[in-house]
Amino acid sequence: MKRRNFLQTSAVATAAASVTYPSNAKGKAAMDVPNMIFIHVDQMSLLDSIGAYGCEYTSTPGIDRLVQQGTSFMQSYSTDPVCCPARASWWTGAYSSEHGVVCNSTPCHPDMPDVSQLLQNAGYNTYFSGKWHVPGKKVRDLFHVLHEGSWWGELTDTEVTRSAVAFLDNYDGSKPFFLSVGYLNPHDICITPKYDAARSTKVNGKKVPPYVADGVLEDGEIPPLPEAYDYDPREPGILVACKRGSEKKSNAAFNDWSDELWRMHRYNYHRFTEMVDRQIDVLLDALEQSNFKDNTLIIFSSDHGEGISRHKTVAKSTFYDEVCRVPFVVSTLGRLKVRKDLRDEQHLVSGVDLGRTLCDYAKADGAVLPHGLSVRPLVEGQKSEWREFVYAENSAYMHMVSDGTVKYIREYIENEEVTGLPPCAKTHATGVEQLFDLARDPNEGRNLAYDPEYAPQLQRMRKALDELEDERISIKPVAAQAQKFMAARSATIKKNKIPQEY
Amino acid sequence: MSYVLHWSFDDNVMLRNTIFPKGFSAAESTLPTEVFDPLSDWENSYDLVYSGPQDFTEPNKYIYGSLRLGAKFSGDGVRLTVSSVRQMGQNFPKEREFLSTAFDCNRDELFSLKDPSSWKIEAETRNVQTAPAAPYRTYFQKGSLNKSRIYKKGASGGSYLYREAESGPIACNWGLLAAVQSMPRDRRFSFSYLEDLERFSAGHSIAFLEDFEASFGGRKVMLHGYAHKGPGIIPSYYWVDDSGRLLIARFGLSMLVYNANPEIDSVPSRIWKGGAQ
Repeated sequence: MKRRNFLQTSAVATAAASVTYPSNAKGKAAMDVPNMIFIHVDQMSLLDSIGAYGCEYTSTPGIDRLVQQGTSFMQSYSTDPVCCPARASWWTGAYSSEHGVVCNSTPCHPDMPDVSQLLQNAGYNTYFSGKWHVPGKKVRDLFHVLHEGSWWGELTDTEVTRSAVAFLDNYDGSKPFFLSVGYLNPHDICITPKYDAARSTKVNGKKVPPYVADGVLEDGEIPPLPEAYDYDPREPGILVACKRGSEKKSNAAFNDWSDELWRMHRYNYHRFTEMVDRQIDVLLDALEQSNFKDNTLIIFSSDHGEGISRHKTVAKSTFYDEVCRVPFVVSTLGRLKVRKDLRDEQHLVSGVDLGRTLCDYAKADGAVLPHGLSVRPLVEGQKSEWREFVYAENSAYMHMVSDGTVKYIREYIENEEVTGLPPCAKTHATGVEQLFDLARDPNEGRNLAYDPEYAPQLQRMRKALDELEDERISIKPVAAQAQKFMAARSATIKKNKIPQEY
Repeated sequence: MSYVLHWSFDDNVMLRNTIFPKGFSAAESTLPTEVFDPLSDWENSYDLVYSGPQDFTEPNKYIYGSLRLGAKFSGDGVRLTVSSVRQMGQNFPKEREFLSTAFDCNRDELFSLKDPSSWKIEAETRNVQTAPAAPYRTYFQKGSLNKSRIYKKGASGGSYLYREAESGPIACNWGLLAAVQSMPRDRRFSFSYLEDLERFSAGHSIAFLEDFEASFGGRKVMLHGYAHKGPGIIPSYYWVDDSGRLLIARFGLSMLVYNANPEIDSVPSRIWKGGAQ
């Protein structure tokens, strides 16, 4: 090759190698703002998951590092314990009835704000890798996407890590960055119940998995049944319709599960939790070795939790603690002002707080976000006015309020005609109510809503929920997909005569 | 078409209705017929199959990629080479990651990593549709093992100590795929696990499970199974034929199914070579 040709070829190759995303920052960043990484997992409960919090059945060295290097909010709640609704709340600062994503696969209202754009306006380059799952908002319109993720953690969480590591290895540092890293696991736990049930054989009418009998696992390796195994059947009709099955329901679920199958579900959940933990550990190593170690804030959370066999449930869509309480850790491997190895048991934190927290650190204007409080003062050990109650919604028809010691859940009954307007006390009749005394009954085993002794607490929590519903921004009908979901669930309740009062 | 399948890979309709009918059980069966010696140089290739409970019929929803694994034996060692491609779920079939690595193993029951030894992993995510993400689309990592200490070095930064393993062998997932082809069946083997040569977990073990006569479209195949367990994985199953060749590896949500001509080639085709530019 002639020298001139070689130089031209080399120049082309160099140009191709250095091709990169243009900046998507729209403003000039304030001085001394940190880089930020939001590590989010899918379906990880605050309970029974993380070694640093005392879970004896998992080893989670990666997440433990975050816990040890940061402040953990132990009263952290999902805004709506289902993937799309909770994720929409992260990025909009709105509750499900406000942003319109009341169930999976229904689009967000188009006029909702977006945290990524607020950060860009504050001079941040924003990047995304992994699971997005906010219908109606195109992630590629909002972020530079490193890798768009997948539905299955085992299959592509590794690629999520690698793309984030490649970013940390190569980012030029010209502007502060916000990097969202979205892992799927332990969400793969949604799959294993079906095939574990299929692999089982019936013994005395109950399905027993083959693992111990066939020598794959020893019985002692499988955790025992969880403490909160039993439940009070006076549950919201929508929960019963989705979760419990019945003799009248063709797809009756879990009625024939043996204790061994419930224990195996818990075992699998722990393994998937470890699976994603190893990814986080690799990512943290990359950050530690990068140029961004000292000035990068990390927030770690999950969209919602998992049943983990507690209350004889799997997956999501309940307000039991294992499903609605999620990790929320603010951490750093560097020199930022973060209280380390601290468990904040006092402050009630919600998924809507993510946006305003990020904006606070970025010195971005987060006022456009409808709700949320920045946890930064709490992380730095400063006093801050804080909420008395945390509020959440689920499956369109359930609302929850808790003050950390008492939890109240109210179900709504659909009207004769489904209008698509998310229910609330002013438009819909009340169905089943649940009241749990978390101080006396942390396992939420007894519904006290129908206990006269608890009438004062019930009235107090009803009032709190009414007031929080009134604080929402204007509510619009949800999109057709969600209306279909609402009509189908309401029909299921009616068809199966599932009680909506006690 | 009749099937007799083991519970470890008989739990979803997609395998029964699509994967095996198009593969092992087809008239032109993909079951290998060539002589195979697991202890002399070989190369095997596999489809990477999503094995969830859905009954997908579109190939790009159940074929997630492929793996080519090769072994070269010399003296007391084995050098394994890996070439793989993986589709990226939500965005598939538009986005794929191509990965290659090679590493040295002991010629022992686990094909454990040589100590000392070193390796490098190179991966590139390519997207045929969207703007280029270079340089963030390329992933590079060097690794080494020395006196049970695992060191890593990324594309930037220096070498650092990643883990110090307790005494005992360290095996990786690709090494196990090779090892089960000649693994003794009389005892359990304990080891530390370095998945993808990237992620470490102590406390793994593998042991012979059972023999099982499978029937793929009437073709009887005696399979010999191993079960692998430990932190960070749900139990995984490896099935080899009488010659020792690995035919099926079943993990949590995925399987490797032997195919001499994988559906997706791990070497980027022209469109994938140019697509990300």
